[in-house]
Amino acid sequence: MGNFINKLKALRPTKRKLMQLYFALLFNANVKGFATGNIYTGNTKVACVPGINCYSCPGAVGACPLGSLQGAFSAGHSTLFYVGGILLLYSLLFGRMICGWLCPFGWIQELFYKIKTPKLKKSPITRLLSYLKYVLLVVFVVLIPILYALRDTPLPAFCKYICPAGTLEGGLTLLANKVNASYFSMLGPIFTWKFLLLVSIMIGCIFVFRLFCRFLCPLGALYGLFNKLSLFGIKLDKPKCVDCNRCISHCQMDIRYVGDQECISCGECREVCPTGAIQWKGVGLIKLRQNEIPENSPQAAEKHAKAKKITRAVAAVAMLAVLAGTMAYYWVSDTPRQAYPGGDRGNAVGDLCYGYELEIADGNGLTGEKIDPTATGEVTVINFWGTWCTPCVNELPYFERIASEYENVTVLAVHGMATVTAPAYIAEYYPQSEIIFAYDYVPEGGSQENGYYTTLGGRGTYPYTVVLDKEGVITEIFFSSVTYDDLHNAVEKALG
Amino acid sequence: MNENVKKTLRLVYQLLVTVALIGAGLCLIVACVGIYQSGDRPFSREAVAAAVGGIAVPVYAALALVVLGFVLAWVLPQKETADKPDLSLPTLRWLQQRADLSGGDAAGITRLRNRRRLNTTITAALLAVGAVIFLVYACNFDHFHRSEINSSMIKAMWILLPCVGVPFAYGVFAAYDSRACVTKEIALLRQCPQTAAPAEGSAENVAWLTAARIAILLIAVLLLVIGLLGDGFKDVLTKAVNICTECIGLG
Repeated sequence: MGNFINKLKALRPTKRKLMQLYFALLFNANVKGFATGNIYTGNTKVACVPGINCYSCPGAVGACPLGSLQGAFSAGHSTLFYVGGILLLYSLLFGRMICGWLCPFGWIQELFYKIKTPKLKKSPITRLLSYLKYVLLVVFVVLIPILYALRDTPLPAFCKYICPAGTLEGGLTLLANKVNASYFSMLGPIFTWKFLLLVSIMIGCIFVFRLFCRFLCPLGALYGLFNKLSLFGIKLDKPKCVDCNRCISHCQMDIRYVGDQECISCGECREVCPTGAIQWKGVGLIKLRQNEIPENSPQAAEKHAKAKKITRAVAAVAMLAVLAGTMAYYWVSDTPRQAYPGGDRGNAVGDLCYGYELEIADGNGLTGEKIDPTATGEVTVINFWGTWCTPCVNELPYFERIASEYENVTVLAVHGMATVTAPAYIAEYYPQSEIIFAYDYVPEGGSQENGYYTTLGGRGTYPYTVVLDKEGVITEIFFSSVTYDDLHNAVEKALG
Repeated sequence: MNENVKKTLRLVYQLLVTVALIGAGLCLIVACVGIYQSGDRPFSREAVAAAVGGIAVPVYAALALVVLGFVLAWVLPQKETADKPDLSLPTLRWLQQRADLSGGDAAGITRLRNRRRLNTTITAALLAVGAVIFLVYACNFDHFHRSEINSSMIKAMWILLPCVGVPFAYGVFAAYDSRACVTKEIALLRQCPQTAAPAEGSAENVAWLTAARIAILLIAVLLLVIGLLGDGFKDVLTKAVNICTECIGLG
């Protein structure tokens, strides 16, 4: 019996594992999203979470810092400052401790590494490979997004071509839900490539400890630069160190010394340090209290241990309460995207389309005019687009061509939200366009529940195109980007 | 159970699970490529489910083996063995701090050290050349077409590959050559008389750290305030709630 209990105790997860699980749940507290297949569209996504956690994951309640950074290059100075400020704060506070304790994808990799297979140990090759993430940071996160931003085309190159966390948390979780069956129609070479990359990386993670973190993660590379400066993490008390190198030998990351840019402050080296030279940074207050206990006072030590136990229990209860409260909040607050009340109208192919008063815009902003797409008396193409969306801006020329080729077809390009970038984009690229540009309804606070996009069945993914016939009946819906031929055929079909 | 039997069991299991997992991964990759090359566009959930259903057996078998592994590890626990990485560099650093070179082969040590430095310099130089070549390519806007982003990116990757690959290939050689140098250097340093370790850590370092932290904190807060005042957060929200499908790889 005792043996059995000991074996059960051996299964007990470490504090770090519990914290990783906790933060993975906290950053993905919109549990309802997994069931409904819809992403969270509330205002908490204004803040970036510290670790890699794709904002297209149905459970995500915050923005991914890496995605936001790439997006910021094409958004404007204030966005770049905002995201840069957040990243600097995270770096200064925690450095790569975020990778070891807070990053959900790091936790997933560690779970894969738990599988009982032979493991590939660190070597000069892995140390060399650990510099690859800096190349990815410079090329995919900074250089290419900036290059395309200069051409008014947003391109989050790392998210689009590499990020396995996005494929796993965003792509696969969205595709797994039957509600999003239409998303399969948009899959092509990019998804195939990213899926192959994801499978390769996850298989690699079984044999190599934190393969993605060590060799590929640009966010880890960025945080690692601040490891020495961070307020929390691991530090080495040099006078106590006897240079036995057990810490380096025990560590599974490619560190050269404790606390360098590769150290994720997991704290496992503290257990093997014979002299206690490895300490936590930023716990000065706790240390002071320990020093206050007189050495020859067992009562005081016992009292201190008891107080520590109580503090831990209170902290655990408080953390659980916060998690439960957060999940309950998102369960209640994330109202499903609802259709605009429209009687017997609908948003499926064959339905008489919901009507709506859209605000017309041009290069100078709102014109004050309005248009109802169902009341044009012509075949109408409604394209929901955004300046932040690469395929959206790439396919706009096709809509322009359709608008100029067909005199009896109204082409509406409805911008998802009234951001500052839209009028400037319209002014530069479509100053004399046949396309009618419009804004979707944006309620106070920035959320777009109940806008025309959601009324027509959009679920937070762009581009989205709906084609109506003369009567306002929906004849075609495109959930992803379209080609000119797609549009041409859909318009011909609607014209009858 | 006999320890040798346990060891054999573990070995057989590890071999099996390794083959099964790599096999399952390859099956997934082959299935994915197969779906893509089938040309049945647009893809549908049903078609993908049917194609993936064909590889269900190896995938489930691999998963069953994984679960079995955890049960085995629980029933037949194995004492964790520590990793044994290359510790030559820390040892070298330790010896360098304490060795009195005047009492040993100083010239030999310097020669080996210079060889290591040369390896590092050549790797860094190759990387710098690679970076310059890629930057020159990248700075030409004509290489990055707005309407053909994917093909532009593939071309850029073909340029990037040798720019990173050549320094990496040399880096592999350099890493092993440097390790050989370090081994020899350690042997020579051990022949030198040992002195006391130099004192480390000073008040200056602490002051520098504090100053740097305060400076970064101020910069971060300043950036954040400017970003907030300029409504920069709105764009973050826009992108986080209106997902560009192709940008997350659904394309």
